[in-house]
Amino acid sequence: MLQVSGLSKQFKMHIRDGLVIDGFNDVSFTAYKGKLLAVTGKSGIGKSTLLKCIYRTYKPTGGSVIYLSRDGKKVDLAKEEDQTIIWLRKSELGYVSQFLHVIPRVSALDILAGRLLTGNASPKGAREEAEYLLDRVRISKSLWNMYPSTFSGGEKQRLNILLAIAAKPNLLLLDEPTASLDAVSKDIIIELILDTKKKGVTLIGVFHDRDAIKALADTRYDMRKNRLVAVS
Amino acid sequence: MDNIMPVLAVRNMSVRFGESCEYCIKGCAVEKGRCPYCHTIWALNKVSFNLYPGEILGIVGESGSGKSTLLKALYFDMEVSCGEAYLSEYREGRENIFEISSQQKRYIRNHKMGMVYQNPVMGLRMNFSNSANVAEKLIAAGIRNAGNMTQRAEYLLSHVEVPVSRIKEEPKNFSGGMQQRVQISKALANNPPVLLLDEVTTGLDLSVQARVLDLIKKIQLELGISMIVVSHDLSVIRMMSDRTLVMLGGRIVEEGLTDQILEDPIHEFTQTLVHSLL
Repeated sequence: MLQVSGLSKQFKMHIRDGLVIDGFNDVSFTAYKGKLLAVTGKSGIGKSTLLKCIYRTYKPTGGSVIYLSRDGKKVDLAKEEDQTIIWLRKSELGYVSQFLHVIPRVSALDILAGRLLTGNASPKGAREEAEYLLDRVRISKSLWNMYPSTFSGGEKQRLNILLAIAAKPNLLLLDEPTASLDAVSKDIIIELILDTKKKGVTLIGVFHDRDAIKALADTRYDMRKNRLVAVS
Repeated sequence: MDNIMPVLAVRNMSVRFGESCEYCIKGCAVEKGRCPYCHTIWALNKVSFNLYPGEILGIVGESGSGKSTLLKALYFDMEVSCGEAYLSEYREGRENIFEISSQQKRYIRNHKMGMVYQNPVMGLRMNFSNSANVAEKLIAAGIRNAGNMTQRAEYLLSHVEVPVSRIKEEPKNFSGGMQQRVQISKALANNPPVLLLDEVTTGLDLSVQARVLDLIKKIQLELGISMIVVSHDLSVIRMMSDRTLVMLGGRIVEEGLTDQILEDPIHEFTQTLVHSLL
């Protein structure tokens, strides 16, 4: 489903006289359909850098990320044309960061309904589904028509994951989706991720939280000294 | 997903001011766009890029890097010194639009491309009413029926949230943000497949800026127009564009996905630019 081999990332900082910073080196792993691969490790070790390299927010320095797309084509995300990456991001790649980035001045319900309005969905159907989903993650009805910038951290993160799932991804990258959340929010998010797994989505997640790893992870890799080591 | 045909393909486009010499014409290093021997200014130096269907392409760079020159040259406001551009909607992209007759260029300006200038004075006739401004474009495109023109002008102006009661007013009485919206409706009059936007929100206050950007985004989603957005405001580029070009001294120094340009800039200038962001 997703095969990463020999992936590495270095940053050359011209504004610091060409200083080279190591992101990570020679990372290889395979992620499978309907499974969650968890990446753990200390802060600053390169876990988020790895996710961003797969999503191509960072351009990898070396190695390959072979992704099997829905139409059965093998694409190297590390080297593919920008145009193809944009297309894949719109149709099958999802990325959930620790922070919610949405268009300002649009209500939560409209944003979510807009995201559900792909393919042959009707505007009314999309709106109903958005309402159902918001209700399911227990976001109070009074907030549906508010801007997400007014939400609390936990509510924002719940919406963040809903938005990623609503786009019906084939591969979903999660960057600490349960960080700094209360127990209730955390449980809701774990439930959502489990649901996504059942739908056959391939998941790669960066986690610090032990409960989340226990509940979600099928395989676990630990990042040590910028390399990835499998944990049984 | 393979082989998406670009709506607009630009190859080796150059705009120079001056005679040029052997040294600079070869494309040797021209510091800050100026040849050290003959002092020719290369406002654009062999610029090549593609604009794809339905995409918003951002262009960033410091003042004087050639961003506006690029748009003006594409809209034929300025002559190019050399280079080629192919528009898929014009003769199926087989003819270099820089080499066609001025009549044909006029046709492209009226049917195939829209331009929104930084300064509304450039794009609007300030002494004509708003509806007349839109009608001017429609007349240029060959529509002569007054009823149809009024209807279309009303539709377009209300689309950019200019109240119907005010469409007979002259844009000179409008605020900067409103003038910009009238300009957008004028640029969209003939449903062009390509829209060029030159620093459209510069000089507008934050809430008006937000409204104009919302509007542009909405239009893009509804009509699927391909756009080139020039701005020196990185937040505008982050919100609007899928891909971004970075310009310096008349050249494109970096090109990539917008989040990649902003989070993992490779070129020295892009790094300086991104790290200067407040």
